[in-house]
Amino acid sequence: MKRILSLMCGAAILAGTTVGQSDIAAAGKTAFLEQEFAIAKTSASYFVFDFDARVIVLKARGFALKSWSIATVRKWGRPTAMKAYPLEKKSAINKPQRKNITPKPGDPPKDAELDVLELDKMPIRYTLELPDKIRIHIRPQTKGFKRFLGGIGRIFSWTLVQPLKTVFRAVKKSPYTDIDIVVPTEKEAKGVYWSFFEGQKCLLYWSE
Amino acid sequence: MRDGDLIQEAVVSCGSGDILEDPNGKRTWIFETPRGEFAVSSKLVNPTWIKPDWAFIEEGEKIPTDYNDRIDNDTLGDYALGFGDGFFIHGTLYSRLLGRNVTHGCVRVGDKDLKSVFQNVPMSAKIYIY
Repeated sequence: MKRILSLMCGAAILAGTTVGQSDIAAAGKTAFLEQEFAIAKTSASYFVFDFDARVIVLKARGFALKSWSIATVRKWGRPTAMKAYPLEKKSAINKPQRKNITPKPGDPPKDAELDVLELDKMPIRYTLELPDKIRIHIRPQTKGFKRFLGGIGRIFSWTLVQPLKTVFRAVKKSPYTDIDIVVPTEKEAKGVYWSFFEGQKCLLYWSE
Repeated sequence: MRDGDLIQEAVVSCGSGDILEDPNGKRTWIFETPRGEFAVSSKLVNPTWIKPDWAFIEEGEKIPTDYNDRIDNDTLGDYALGFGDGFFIHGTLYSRLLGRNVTHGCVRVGDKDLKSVFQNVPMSAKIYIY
């Protein structure tokens, strides 16, 4: 009898936990939708990083203009808030540079001579810097030996660097959030870099 | 788009992102197509381009003092749809460059596509550039 009672209590506790978690998830979703509704009422386009659906979406007035899929995502540090974050800066090692025009008469240059900012010139590995020390690192999936080498580096980072960073930042009372996003192709990495511009707002959504 | 359905797709050219500095002054132009939400504010048939100063500076020419020297009836093609601040969706003489970022900020469209856009898009229709 005691065993049955304890099992029933256990089941009741589990059920309570499940209900609690679903309430939290529903509250999170509601907060997210409220935030999106507030931005969608303005004329500004915005990004939604939906980590549950594994998708990055560029939207305007609530309509999806373009989307890119996420292959994998990892997160360290403080949870992000449910609010619109403006993009402060895009950093990349090989950041595309604008060209200064040298005035000269005549027809426009031939296709081969064109040196203009286009999608192909965008970097494939870069960091999106948001307020509250949120850093979103984006890179494409790699194959073969590159993937193997990158994998070793990432295991080192995930098992040593990130835990140490978390402890160090906690001691210094300087919380941070690192989000590591892998997109399926280089074209998708370039596409996000191209479309997301400084000052544009974004929402970060996780149900957890 | 109409009622959420895509009704036409076209290859266009947008701003090059290049920078032009006025050698005789402190003016600088960045040839970028603005992004965001806009609305069709004018619709012109056989549009005339009143060439701004940068058009002469880029060609290494002297900026004219006579207004008539700025008038260009050929460059913009048969139709133009204005969307504010001097930006237009217009035709082009250089159709081989469609699909490349070569403009000074305007959106260039091929003749056939432009005619269709012009006929189907009403004044104040929303334009999203991204």
